[in-house]
Amino acid sequence: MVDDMGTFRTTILVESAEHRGETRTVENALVDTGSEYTWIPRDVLDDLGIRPERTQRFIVADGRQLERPIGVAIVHAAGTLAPDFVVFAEPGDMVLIGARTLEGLNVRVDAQRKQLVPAGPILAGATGAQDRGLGFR
Amino acid sequence: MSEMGTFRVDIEIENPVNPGARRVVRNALVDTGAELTWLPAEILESLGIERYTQWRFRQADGTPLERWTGSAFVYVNGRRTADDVVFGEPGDLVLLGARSLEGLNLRVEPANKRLVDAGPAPAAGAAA
Repeated sequence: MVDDMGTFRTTILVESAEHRGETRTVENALVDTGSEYTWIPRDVLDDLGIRPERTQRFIVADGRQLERPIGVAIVHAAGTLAPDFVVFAEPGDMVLIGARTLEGLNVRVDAQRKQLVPAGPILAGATGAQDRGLGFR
Repeated sequence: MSEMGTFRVDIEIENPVNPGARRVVRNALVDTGAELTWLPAEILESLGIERYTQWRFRQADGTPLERWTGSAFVYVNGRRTADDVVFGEPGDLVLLGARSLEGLNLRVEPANKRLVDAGPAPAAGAAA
């Protein structure tokens, strides 16, 4: 197994959405824009009283499919937080911070500097009918 | 399998030993969790890129696997980097990995599903 080179890891805080204020620290979560969801060790989620909501299927690098339960948590990272579905990771699974959470945190992933950086203002586009087709007349 | 936060980009590949011909690889998953870029072996072979070493990888469920790697130029958004790339086998995902993104000096913006310029690269050297 090779050491990380271009990839990087970060420390995240997981909080129960039902019992706000209860948190657990998860270290060395791999920042993974190729993973839809954030994967947290099951014992951490169990400890916070987070319950599985449903089962989700995933595809791994070699194309195999696997299933894991997912539940709702609040994920803290890069000085901000985002509510999201998280995966109940089994022993041996990787610990990942995935694309949906990164999107919710509104951060960019800088692979060269190995850091998460604020992505800036979020689009709130709503173009009214009066603008349609008018161009710059 | 639906995609929500993840996104894909088209990339081009060239053989650095025999430059000129390029092949387009569509819909590569932008994956900062993958060390290397994974491409279909048939595309790399069609460009004459040679397999020269085997790497071991670990997948999300901890399962290890081995794949051959070789050298390629990777083009994205008009930029080029030289990198080791994986000879993906049938069924493998097609991935644009962290080392290529680093070489291309691109940041990943999941909220807008795009790659953006990462700005000036560090060149730290503070003399005494």
